[in-house]
Amino acid sequence: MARMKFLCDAERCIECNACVTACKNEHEIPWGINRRRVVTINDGKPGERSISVACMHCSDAPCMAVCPVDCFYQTEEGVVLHSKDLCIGCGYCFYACPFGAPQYPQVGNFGSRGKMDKCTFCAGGPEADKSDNEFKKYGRNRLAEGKLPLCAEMCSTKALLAGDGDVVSDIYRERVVSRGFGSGAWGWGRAYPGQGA
Amino acid sequence: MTFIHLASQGQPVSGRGVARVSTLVFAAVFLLVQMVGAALEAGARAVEADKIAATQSGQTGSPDVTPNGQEPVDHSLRGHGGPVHAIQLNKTKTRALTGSFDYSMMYWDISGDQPKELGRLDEHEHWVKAVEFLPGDKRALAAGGAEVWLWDLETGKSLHVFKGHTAEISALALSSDGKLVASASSDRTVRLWNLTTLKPGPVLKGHRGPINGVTFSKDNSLIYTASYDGTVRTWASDTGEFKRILYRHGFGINTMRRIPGGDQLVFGTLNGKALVIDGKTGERVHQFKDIEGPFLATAIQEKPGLLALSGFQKKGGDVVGIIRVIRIGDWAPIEEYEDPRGPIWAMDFGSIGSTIYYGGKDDYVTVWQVTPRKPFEAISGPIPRRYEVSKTAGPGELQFARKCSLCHTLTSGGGNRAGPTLYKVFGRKVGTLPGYPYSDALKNADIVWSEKTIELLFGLGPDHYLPGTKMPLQKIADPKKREALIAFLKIATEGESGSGASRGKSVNETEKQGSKEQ
Repeated sequence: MARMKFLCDAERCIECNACVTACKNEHEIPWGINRRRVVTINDGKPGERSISVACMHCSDAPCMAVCPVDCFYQTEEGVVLHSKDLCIGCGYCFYACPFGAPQYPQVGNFGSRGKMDKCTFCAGGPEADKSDNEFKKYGRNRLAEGKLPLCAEMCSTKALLAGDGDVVSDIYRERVVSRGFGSGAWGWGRAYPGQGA
Repeated sequence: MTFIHLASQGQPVSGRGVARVSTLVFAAVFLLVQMVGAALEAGARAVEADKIAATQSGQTGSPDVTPNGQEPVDHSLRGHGGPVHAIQLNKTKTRALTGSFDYSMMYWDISGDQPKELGRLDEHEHWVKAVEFLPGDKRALAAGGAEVWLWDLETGKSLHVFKGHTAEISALALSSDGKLVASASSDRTVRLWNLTTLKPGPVLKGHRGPINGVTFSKDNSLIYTASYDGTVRTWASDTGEFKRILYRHGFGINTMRRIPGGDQLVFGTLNGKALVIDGKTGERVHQFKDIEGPFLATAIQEKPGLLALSGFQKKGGDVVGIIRVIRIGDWAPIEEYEDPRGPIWAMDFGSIGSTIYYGGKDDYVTVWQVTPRKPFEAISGPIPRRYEVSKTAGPGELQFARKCSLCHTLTSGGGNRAGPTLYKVFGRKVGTLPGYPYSDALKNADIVWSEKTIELLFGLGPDHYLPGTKMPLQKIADPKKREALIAFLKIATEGESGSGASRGKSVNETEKQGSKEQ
């Protein structure tokens, strides 16, 4: 079974925001919610980099660890999903996610948050695959349709990669080899001082 | 211990005369007796920071039983119907306030051997995520959702509700003179409220994310705020004017407090960092050892000068809560404790820093004795909670445990959680259970609970069927699951036997629900 992964190549992202728009359109995400966003560092300065960020579907997802009602689950493909029937909108996952993935529409009547919403890797939720209920609550289930996340499919420079982690890493490895040393993952040098750019 | 250490370093004996030696010996003995006497007088309450240091690594830890072999006294605070998110003890460590997901703030007497519940203040319309004693301990504040409630603790009556925020409040801070309170909210603002005139003060706007920490400067002239946007900012407390960004961390800041006696700030972040910075210059004073998960709460004991940081991290595939106790000043680690029950969201120091009261995912507050360390080892394994049900539970019971049990009990004596007990709910008119603070929407509703009305509640969703209810958006789209839930409720709400069966099964230790069966 494939282990699904996102990877954003900061050498290629041109901050066009097509991934953000594609995501909103595909899942009919309401106003005020962005499951995906583009973050730019050093904007307008030398060394500017942009990366597209959403839920990274962590192997050891901290959101799953903190949820007080245990509403998260991980699919066999490693996609982290949650049940909006169980979510109480407490915001605990927001305190734990380093990517800022959890979003809360301000429509709830429990606390002042609605149910949490986040990127599903276009894999829907606990409702029946491709059902109306699933679409209304979680958006399109493209994985069930045999497709990959639309954000990556739409990326014009193929900066955003999504799919089987082995395939994604092979593609990225080829790019790094082709571009030369130092062109690896953005932030590598900061995370691992002395081991590259 | 301190006094022994000092006595052992007595003046060197010169050898010039016996009388002089005798005098010195006498003086040393006298000094020793004096010090021992002083130490005994101070008794159990005098737990100095360096005594705590001596117990680090658990060398002086005692087994979790009393000397005469009896079961230890349970000091935990039990009474809430939902996870505890806020804890504050008063300065004399004789009273405690706790806030929970059950929409209530509880008031406790913790001066005796057993904690005693003094009051349950449950009129809030949302969960309580911050609590604060006012000077004198006769009044208190609770952040219930987007509102700040002022309570009289002696009468149990609410004195005022400060309204203005548009999203829930995550932190409160009181000025040292007790005249102003600042509330930090997910609506990205901090609001000031005057506790004398009960009038709203300035609104601090500028953060680009929810604000998780707020505190006044030592002289009350400034307010420090810490946000999910990764910045610590300063503001004028009289006008609310933005002064400057004091520190940029990048990752979100989850908790922040001022160190008493000065303007140093300690904060814990989303990416497992904890730092002390200078509140005047913004310079980094100290950085603590990282954890692999986020820091979630901080607590400070002014005397003898201790700081506690809590959060969680993964350990061997499990999620363990973590508490670190650190000495203020040299920032030396004193103790570290792990709780396998998960993240620690709230805590405060007990008597003179020797204990810590903390809350996590459970409905109660646990007391950990920092020194002598007790329990010595981390308490035993994860406890399945009421919503962590097995696949072997019946379909209706499964629906109840996963979707209802966080907020409702089934027994007459089970008490109320965020919602009322469902004991004998069939045939009950909506909004009529004595003792539960219903919303106006339910008080005025003309509905009697039956199979049909419960079917409609979950078919249409509470927000459509009973607009204005406190109940969360909760639809059960599958008619078969609704039917199973109602069939279960018909039996389980009728008596203790039905509910007992439900509880017993729902806490077995088999695998949790996953994927499409929730």
